[in-house]
Amino acid sequence: MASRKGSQQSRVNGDKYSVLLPTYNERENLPLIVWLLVKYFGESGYNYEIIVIDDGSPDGTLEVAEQLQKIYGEDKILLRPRAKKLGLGTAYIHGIKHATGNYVFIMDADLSHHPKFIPEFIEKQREGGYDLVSGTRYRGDGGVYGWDLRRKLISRGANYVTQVLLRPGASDLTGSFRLYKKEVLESLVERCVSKGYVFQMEMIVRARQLNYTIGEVPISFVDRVYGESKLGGNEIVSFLKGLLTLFATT
Amino acid sequence: MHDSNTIIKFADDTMVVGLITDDDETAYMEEEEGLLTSGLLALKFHIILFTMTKLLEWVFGISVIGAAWALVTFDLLGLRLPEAYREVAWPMPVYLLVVFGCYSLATVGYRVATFNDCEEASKELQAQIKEAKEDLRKKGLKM
Repeated sequence: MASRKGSQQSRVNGDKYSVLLPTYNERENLPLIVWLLVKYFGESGYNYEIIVIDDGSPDGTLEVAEQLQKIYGEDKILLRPRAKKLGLGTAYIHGIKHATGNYVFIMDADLSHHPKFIPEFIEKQREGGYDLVSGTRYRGDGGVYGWDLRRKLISRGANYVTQVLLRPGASDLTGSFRLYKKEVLESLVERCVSKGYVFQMEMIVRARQLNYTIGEVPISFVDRVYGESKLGGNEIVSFLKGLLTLFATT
Repeated sequence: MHDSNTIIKFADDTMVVGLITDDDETAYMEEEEGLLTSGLLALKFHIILFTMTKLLEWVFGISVIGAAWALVTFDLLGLRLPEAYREVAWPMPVYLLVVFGCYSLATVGYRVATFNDCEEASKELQAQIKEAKEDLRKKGLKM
């Protein structure tokens, strides 16, 4: 029933969703995330394309992407690689240039974000006509798998400080599973100057500045890399620096 | 007139102070044009503009509250308020900080304690990964 409603609506609306997947060394995960995206978009009937932006991964991610293109078609899998690791903001700009959809999903390619939430994002966006819909781990039945107490404490603590200082009107600022109207994403990316976690925060803060409307969808975040890449002192310091910069400049 | 901007002009027409909000500089542009076309030289007018940042909001808010507190505690205007007012006001900053500190700890503590652990999501993902690998192998993907 959901799929029939979806395909009828998207045929009437003509909406198309471009999924931007910046990748770096995701040879194992890329086929899996693409398979899941194809599954959930297929079931729901919405029109879509997947844009893989590989930053010269040495592990052969691009070759895997080319195989996937042969399997699923060049209209569904677009490859827009770059020569070297250049950062997220420019990856989005690069990806948007080639996107033929009027809506853009951004998400991680490492399976921490699950495509099963995509129909929920789309429905939420249509429900409220939101300029952007943000996935939140902190509200409703959103949550995380694979975090110990220390990580949860840092996450909630940092989020609390951010809420007090910036009062952003969104519960999860560092999350990167979002749906944007294409022109909204374009206008935000060109205004944002931060890097890393803070970049995602700045996008939301600037969206509020420009009076864009923000909707939220609870998501589950399955962290499979936490064991390998612990959140160290350096990252916390750079997060605080970025937060204070946003506090003082927006 | 632009709703998002506030412009104050001074009587001698050489000073304009404005508050920009929402990154909307159109009111400023219009003022500048107006001043130039009325024949004033660039040297003669000063335009001071600022964007109300969160930092400035805090500075402003704390200044207002701080001024009110100092006024009552130190009787700066010689109002000779009842002793009770002074006794209550004097420790207020510390009280408020302590209350805020406790509230913060309680809030973060509660949120950590109720942070959802998505067991089923992880299991579901594991199962789907197996299914995906099988299906992709059938479709000809070489891992």
